[in-house]
Amino acid sequence: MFFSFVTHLSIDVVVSKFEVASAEVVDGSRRNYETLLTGIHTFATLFPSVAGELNETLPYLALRDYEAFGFGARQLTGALCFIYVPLLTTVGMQDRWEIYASANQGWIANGRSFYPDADEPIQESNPIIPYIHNLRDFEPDRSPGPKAPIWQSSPPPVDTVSCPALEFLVCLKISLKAR
Amino acid sequence: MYDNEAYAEIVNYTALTGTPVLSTPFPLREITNRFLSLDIPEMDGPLSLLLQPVYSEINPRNGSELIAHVMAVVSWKTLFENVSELSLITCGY
Repeated sequence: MFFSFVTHLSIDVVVSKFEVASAEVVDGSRRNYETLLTGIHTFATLFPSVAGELNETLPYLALRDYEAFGFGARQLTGALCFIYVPLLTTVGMQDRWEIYASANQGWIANGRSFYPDADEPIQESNPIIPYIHNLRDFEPDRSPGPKAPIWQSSPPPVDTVSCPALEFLVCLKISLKAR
Repeated sequence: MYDNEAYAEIVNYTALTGTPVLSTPFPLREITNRFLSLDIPEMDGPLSLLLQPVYSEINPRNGSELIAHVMAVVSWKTLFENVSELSLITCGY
């Protein structure tokens, strides 16, 4: 199948070119992946560091300058977005999370303010849906879990968030234009 | 060809089929579908979702707990460099 496409090059030439090009692909992809891993690892270390500094209890944390860090990490790695996803293993943690998320929405406005020149209108923020829900119908998820709701995202969301309703994708377009 | 551990990790976390690959309820299917429905040049093709564990302390040791993940969404176009060039060569151009 592979050689059936070759009409004007000898097999030796094609094999030689393939070996060189495939090695470049592997090396380049590995470099990209290592850069990505380094970026995401560095980003992840922010949370225990800041929590320790502020004497907060993880995973209940909202980084004030999340978008500033996230923007830099996205530029460095080429990732489309970075999302912080707390791991809530008990019903008690989930109940506490719903209260926490509802009371700490300031990161959304802070994130949006990072793009003052965005050429698309940014909608006003709706209150975060005050319960953990699934993304298909936004109905409350009352299963015992564990649960991993989406929390802070870079780029920031532009509409209703809880597990932010992934409307950050709209803002993703905006941020891409704002580069 | 990609027999290194890093590549295996990418494949494990890739939601090409929309099938969640983790036991915890990450909404991978929804995330993937939302991304694929958008017209964003950087996102032409499959996506990878990578998860970096976040521990309660920077240097994990006894007593340090897994408390969250940071999820990165990456286009394969970004991740796999020069794949298009390889495709052309395999076709004899």
